[in-house]
Amino acid sequence: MSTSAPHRPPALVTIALEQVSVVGLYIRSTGLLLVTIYLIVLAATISQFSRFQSVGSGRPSMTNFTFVPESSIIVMILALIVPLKVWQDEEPAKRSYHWVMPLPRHAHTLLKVFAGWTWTMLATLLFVLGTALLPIIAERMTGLPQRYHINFSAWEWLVPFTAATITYLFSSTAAVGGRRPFIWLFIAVGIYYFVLLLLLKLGLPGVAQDFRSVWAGRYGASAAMSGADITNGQMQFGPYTELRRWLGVTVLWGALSSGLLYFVAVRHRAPR
Amino acid sequence: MTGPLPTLLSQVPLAISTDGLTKTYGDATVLRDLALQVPLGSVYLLVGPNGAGKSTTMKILLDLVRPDSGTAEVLGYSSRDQGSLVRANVGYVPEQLDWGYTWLKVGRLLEHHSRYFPSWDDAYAKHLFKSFDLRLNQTVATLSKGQGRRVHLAMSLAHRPPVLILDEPTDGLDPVMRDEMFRVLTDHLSDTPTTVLFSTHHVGEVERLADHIGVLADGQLRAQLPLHDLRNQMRRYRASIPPGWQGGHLFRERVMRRITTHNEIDWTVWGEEESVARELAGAGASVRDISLFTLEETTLLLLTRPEIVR
Repeated sequence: MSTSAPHRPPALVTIALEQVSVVGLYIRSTGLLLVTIYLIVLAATISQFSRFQSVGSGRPSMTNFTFVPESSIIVMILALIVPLKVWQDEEPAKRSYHWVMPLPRHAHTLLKVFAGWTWTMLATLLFVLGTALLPIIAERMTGLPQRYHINFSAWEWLVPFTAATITYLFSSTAAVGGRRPFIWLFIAVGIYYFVLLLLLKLGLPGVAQDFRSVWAGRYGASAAMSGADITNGQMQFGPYTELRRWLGVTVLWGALSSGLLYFVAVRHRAPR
Repeated sequence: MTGPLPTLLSQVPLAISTDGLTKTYGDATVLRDLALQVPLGSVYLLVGPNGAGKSTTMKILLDLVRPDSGTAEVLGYSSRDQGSLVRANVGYVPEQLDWGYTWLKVGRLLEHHSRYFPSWDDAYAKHLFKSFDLRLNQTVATLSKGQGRRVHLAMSLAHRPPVLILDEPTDGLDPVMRDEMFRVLTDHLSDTPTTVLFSTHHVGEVERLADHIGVLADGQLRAQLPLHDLRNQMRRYRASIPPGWQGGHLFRERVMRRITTHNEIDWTVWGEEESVARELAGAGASVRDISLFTLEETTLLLLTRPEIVR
């Protein structure tokens, strides 16, 4: 008896599409729940416009209705949760089925991360579209011109996407690398506040301020995720924001989160 | 060679080979300088007690576990450096079933699995599922251990891989399904050229399929040879001996089990039957009976420490 001709691994595109499909199936119930909640909130908001309209004299003037980039906190929370859900049943010790597939292990892991990211971006798009549509619907209903804040820059529409991406990558790092990602995320936040308090207790407010800027500084994670310009811990939006600075801080935190994710994905872990 | 039996195969083309494979978990050494040689196209039975290192060896071949030292190759691909190519060419049934997709229907899991193997034979997959009495609309989480094994086995065969690595594939199967599994495997081997590395505690069941055997204990191979050599050269000799017989030293380490009383010997010896019988006769023993062993008895003999009773 001989052995048949060697087989080739699958195309990465095929597996990427399959992962998008299978991850979508996995998170669909959670996703549907979130979409339903979001639609209810939208509907409630719209119904409020209708109510104001019917009152007559109580008609509001909504000319300052605005999209604020920091509202991307909503999609950031989603981006934090999605990776934990995607890897829920596949902690490292139980990942043998995933790893036994005919792809480089880290590439396979990153494809699954990509699949979750695709759905996160779709959810973000829905959020942004909903936010954009809201004033249009309000204008139709109230007859009053609604427009966005006069100082609102067009590029800030991108902030929810980049904020969700960076959050998603950090959360994926915890989910891919650890058995209990939630705990790792809490530990990271705990360490941040512990060090901050320790520095203040030690009478080193300057060092504490520098350390705080890692999160809430001009080039801190918070600046990347909100699009705001942060000076002396104060977030400023609108005319104070600057595209070049935001791009720089986004690339910085994007690279850091991607690098961490790649590091945990490439590290060899043995299943039990 | 760690004993009288060969642990290295002579010049044959190999589908699977390891060299100097060593693996430790904490203080425990699971594999010691292992040189596994699975000939191309063979059905190689790897036997050993629990904890002997069988599953670890298989996981190293698939790059699921990394060795401390040594190399492993499957079809000439390095397990460590070309793991994805190795896995593309292997159908694997693990000892422990960790799916990660317990929420999927079996049919969707099958579809998912098929995407990873361009050579997937859909008609054959359906045939296998029918043979194994599996339902596609059942959720993976609700599968029993035996059903899970059958799903794994069907998935490992359906892309007709050149190499099959089956780690205790009959574990959890009832006798009827075990029989069916061997029937399916026999059919598969008859129409798909495959090299099989098979580990099981039910040695007798695989006897009809296997043509090579490796006996692994304490992370080392005690024997590695064609099965017919093992059958032909391991014999039990019972002979009468005269008072004061001086032949106790005969065959030295080739005696696997040595029971000697004042007027009789009951030895299990590794060697050509004719030559062993002649040597015994030459030393004054009168051979009364020469008997064969079953594969199960032979492996048991190799796995237990040499027994010497005087």
